[in-house]
Amino acid sequence: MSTARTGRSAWLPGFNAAGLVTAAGILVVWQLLVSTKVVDFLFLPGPLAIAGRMPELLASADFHEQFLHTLTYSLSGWGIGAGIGIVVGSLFGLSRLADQWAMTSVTVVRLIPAIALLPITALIFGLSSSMELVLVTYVAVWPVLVSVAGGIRTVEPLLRDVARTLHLRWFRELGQVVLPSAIGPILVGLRLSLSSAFVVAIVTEMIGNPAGLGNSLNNARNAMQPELTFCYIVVIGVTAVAANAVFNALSRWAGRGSSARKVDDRLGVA
Amino acid sequence: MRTQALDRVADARTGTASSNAGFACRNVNASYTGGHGGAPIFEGIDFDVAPGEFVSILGGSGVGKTTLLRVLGGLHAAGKGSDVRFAGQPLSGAPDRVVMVFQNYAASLLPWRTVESNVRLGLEGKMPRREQRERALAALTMVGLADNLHYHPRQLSGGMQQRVQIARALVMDPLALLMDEPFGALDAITKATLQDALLRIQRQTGMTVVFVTHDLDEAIYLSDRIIVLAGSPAGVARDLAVDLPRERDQVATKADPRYLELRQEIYTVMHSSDPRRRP
Repeated sequence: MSTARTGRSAWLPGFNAAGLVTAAGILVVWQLLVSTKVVDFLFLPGPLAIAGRMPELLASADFHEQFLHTLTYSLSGWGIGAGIGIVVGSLFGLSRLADQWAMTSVTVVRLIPAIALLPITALIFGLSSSMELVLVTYVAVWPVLVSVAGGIRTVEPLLRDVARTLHLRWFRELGQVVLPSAIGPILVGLRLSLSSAFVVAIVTEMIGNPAGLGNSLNNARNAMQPELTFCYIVVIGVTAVAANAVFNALSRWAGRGSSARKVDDRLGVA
Repeated sequence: MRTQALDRVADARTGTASSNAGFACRNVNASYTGGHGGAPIFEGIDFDVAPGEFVSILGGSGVGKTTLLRVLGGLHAAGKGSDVRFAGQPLSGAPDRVVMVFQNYAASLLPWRTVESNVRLGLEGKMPRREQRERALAALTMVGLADNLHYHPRQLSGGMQQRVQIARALVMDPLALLMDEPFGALDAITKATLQDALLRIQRQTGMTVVFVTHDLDEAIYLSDRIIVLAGSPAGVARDLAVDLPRERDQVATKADPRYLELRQEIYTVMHSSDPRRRP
């Protein structure tokens, strides 16, 4: 906490009280509508009932296991996918030839919704965690690949001349000059990739791999427990928001110094 | 400490400033598209730059001064039939120990690196970190920035940023420095200060300098020789020695009658309707 306070102005977003009031207001209205039976569905509980169910869920060992599963697989898939995206994206960004020959295929393939590939992935890998990892990785590659390739192409040409006149080796030019100059678009790609990875992890767990939060969500529905179902929705939502916040904090920390402002602008969190 | 570092650089240079660190250009042409096709920007360019000589390439905008400099630095391919050599060797890519200093200092420094780490960029992976730091300090001392190691470029004035870029070139221990209007974007006072600093460093190190400018006074003040480009496609309109004493002074040199003669002669060449014909 104390470190958060000292670093706050530099890389933590400010606290938005007005935004919180609106969110609380929505919950209050929801609760009133349900309590007064103005809105009356068999399976629509109010926020208080959902909150009442939460402590039991958060304390359960099974929940911890499933939560960890989803977190592990979405983050691993994201990491592997981002790695592939950076390497292949760099190739596309640096090589006119690679761009000319392969970018059309990339554009077509990346626009196929990942979910459409779930049946064939399930046939190949079975309804397993491998299938989940493959799909998450797959979906994580594209935003990074495209943003790295695009980011590199917009790097100030003068900087490439600087690298040449100083006789930098290609990997040093890439690592020390080109990628850092493209850090803004690359971070945007990484963030998009992270949210896609999480979404696809949940979806494959719901309709493929019987594990993780997506599967638990389904089970709660099948058991006709709307409060528990909502609890999982809340957990999934909060996790996604937290992952995004951690990522933004890390990018701001990484981009501290001169390019921090630019990074903030690109992320839309200034 | 500081003079020691300075001596070390000077020592290193007197040993290595090889006697053939000059350029030879024969029948050089270039177009914007690089080596193949396109209308030539300049053609039939012949000139030599002797080792240790300070040569300015002077001309109006669009005559291809910058492109010619980029050809010398191996950053732009010369057209068919061109023969460009450094130290007797035909160029293939950027020649060793020839470093370019760009006009746009703000865009050529890495904003996320400190002054010191910008200067070390070209040394990284080529020697131990300790030696990188020593050489960076020596180079920054030469340009008078030894006290600004830990600043980021954006915290410095334009003149200081350009000094950083010059230090980043000096740290490579160049035999030749190629400078593309390095002081073009600076105010008159900063410009004069940096001109004198550059002359001091050039005299100290004995390196060859090819300096592109459109500023007539700057060219005469700094150079041993001036090559005037003119025409379209451009060619060498005049190649003349600046026969002023090598010790230059912002006031005395510019009041020298010979300086004024040279100024008038070059002015006439630059503004004549057919600059490539001798009067």
